Amino acid sequence: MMGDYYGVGVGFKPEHFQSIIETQPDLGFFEVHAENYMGDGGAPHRMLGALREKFQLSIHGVGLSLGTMGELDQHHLHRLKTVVDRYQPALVSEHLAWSSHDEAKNLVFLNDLLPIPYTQETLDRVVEHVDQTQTTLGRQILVENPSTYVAFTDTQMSEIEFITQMQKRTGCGLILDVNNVYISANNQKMDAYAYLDAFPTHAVGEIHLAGHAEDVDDDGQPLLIDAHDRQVAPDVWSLYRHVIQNTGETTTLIEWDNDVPDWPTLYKEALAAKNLMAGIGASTHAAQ
Amino acid sequence: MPPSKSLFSHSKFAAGLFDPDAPAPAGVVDPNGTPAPKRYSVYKNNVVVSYLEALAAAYPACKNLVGEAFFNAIGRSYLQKVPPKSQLMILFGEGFSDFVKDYPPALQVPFLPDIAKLERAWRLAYHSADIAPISAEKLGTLPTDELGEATITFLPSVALVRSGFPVFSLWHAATNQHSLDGIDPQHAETTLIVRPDLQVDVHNIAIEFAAPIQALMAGETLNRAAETGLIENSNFDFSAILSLLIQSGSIANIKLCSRGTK
Repeated sequence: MMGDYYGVGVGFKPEHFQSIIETQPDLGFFEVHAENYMGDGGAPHRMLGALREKFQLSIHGVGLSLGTMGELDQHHLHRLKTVVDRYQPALVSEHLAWSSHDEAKNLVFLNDLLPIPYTQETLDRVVEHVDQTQTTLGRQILVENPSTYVAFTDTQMSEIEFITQMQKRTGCGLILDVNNVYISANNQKMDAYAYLDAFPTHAVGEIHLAGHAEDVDDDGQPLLIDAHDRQVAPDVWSLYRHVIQNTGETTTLIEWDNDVPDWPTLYKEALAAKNLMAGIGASTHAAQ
Repeated sequence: MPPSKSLFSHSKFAAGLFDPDAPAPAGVVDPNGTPAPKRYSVYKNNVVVSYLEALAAAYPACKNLVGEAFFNAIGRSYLQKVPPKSQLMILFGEGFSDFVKDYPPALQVPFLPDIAKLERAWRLAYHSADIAPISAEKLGTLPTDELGEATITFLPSVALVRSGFPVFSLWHAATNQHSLDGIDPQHAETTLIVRPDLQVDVHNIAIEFAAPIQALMAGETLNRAAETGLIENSNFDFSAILSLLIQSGSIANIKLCSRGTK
């Protein structure tokens, strides 16, 4: 059984706050990065509080480092709990990635979603960290599939196998980031449709859509970059359509974090996702 | 065949991220199993660019004063010298002022550390806890004859930046991208930073107010703080300082020590 349906949402940007409050857009929720609301007070909390009065929220962590081989930073986990307790969001999520490590007992934070090799050892560690997070927060979290640029000689299993086992062992939900699937499929020479068909969609609580940039790899071949700086690409919309045909109506987020457009442009992108779901007559999968 | 020893290590993967010349760590490859330095460098670029952007967002006046290229050069050195330790990017940039002070190429911009100090205080004030300034009613009930022995609790956003340079004028001009023409580089200025509600205010205050305000911030009584001011200026008017602190919304509470009033 997939998670509840919260409609279509967008990543919240403070510069859109006024437009959102004035126009009351027909959206189900807003997503924010948890770490941006870990300050003590001030305008960020005032805005998020006002938004929470009108909309559901999705709190999306980017700094917990579930993929670290060391210990989870308990201090950070409790900061996350404080944000979650305060805003009572519909969804809480994190990434299958690492961003900090304390191998020298000295935490270094790298502000990116870094990849891990898929091995039994890393799986055990991630499972432990997801369990710990869910226990501390007292709720289920969604874990997002990554976009990756490199592979590891250590890797022993496919990403799908890793995610499937992680989900089974922790009971976590999943974010299926369709743009990440498209990026990783290109960068890792996989078939995106085959990936989607093998993905444990029964556990998906939210879909992410975003734009990507194009670079080249060491051999001059296209390397896609998860830039979140433009519209969703046509090929990604096609993948999304493929997913929705399979899953039915699913909570969907448009992420646009860099070169942030004006509010009408972002809203239009969200409506496109809504229209696509309506257009293929996607039925509500949740009991309603 | 037993599994080969794992090559992956967070510290090795992380170590090269701030070094443009570092090769890809062992075991980091492309889908064909070939070493892939260019692919690894995508992560280098992501990390460094994200931090330089965060630094520019935290220190916009500093960036405007020295230009983007120089600012990013300082930023790259800062990242190598002061490895980021916090997941809170909203507070990124700790210790930047101290770093700039000791960064030889920035010596030609001697006021830069003080501008950085001001911008850091602004950032901390922006995210500080929401504490309301003391109300007019509460102020009105305070027995004036006991004020001398009282101490002040400041809002958590309050900070004082004393500088031998025109720190306020330079910050103001750089923030608004105005010309620096007409700013006397030898003119010392002191600023008071406070966020009484949502907006961070930066006040250009009289230099002679600095020592008494610092004394108050250190927990000295009003009488002791006033003496600090008189050392430098026998005509010193302490009530002007109290007015400034009240009108700027800097005071959270005034505690009458003798009776331990809250």
